[in-house]
Amino acid sequence: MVEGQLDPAAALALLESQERRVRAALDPGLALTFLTWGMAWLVGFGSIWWQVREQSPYLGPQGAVAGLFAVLLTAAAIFTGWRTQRAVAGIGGESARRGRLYGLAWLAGPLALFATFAALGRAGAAAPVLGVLGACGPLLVVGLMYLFGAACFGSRPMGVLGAWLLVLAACIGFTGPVIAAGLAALLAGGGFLVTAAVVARRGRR
Amino acid sequence: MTELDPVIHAPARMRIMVALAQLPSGDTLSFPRLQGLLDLTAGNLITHLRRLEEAGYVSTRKTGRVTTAELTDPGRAAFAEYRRSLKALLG
Repeated sequence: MVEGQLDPAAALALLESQERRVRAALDPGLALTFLTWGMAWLVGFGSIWWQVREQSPYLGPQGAVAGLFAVLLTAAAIFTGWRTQRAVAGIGGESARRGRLYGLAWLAGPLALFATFAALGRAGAAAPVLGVLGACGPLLVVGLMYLFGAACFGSRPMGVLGAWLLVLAACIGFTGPVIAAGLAALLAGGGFLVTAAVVARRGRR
Repeated sequence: MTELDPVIHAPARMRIMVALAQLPSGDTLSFPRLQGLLDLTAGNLITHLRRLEEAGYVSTRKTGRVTTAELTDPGRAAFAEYRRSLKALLG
């Protein structure tokens, strides 16, 4: 392109196409992130519910199912981290500082929850108690993380999803560990999928 | 007659302004990332960044081995005005 030969129509077209291109490059892909987490929760908690639904007495998730849940959540976290890192590479300043803090909180929150689990197990907590915490704990941590994200980045979908997960965290434990796992799969996994659909639809507008 | 800001009204400089305007105020973009977003050679990017910096629209800073660029407040205002002028010219 030769300097100084832009008529206004061509200039506006170039400006808008460049704007679309840069926005796409800087977009961490919130819809795909929610879809990934929704699938991980749906399959992970769904598998746990399927395994424990007829346990009597309740023993909790065993062997491969517990492993599958951990693998799914880890894979979702790695995928999200990679996508986000790719989008924000080279960005510095205030957003980068907030992003680093947010990333650290995503690491620290689940680790603290895992440590709480271990401590409760060590203190002799019964399987149903651990089962209730297993369903409600992740909802509590992730719900707070999304509210934190909404406050940091002004994202309404994050705020709504965070509030929904906190409502679930406050309620589903009262149904007991078996039904709570099923509700976490359906209502929390479903919440992620609905949010993914809403964000994707807004992005296409 | 509406006039277009000649500092911005050049393809490469306008694209630099577009890229930097996508970041919130206070955020910076590293030179390699900006170059990747714009597909410009390093020499070309430096030349146009310097012109924008002379006009007070962009500020660059070198920290260690990394050079970063950001839109200044006057730059943000000038870009908004440039866009308004373009639309006004096109009716």
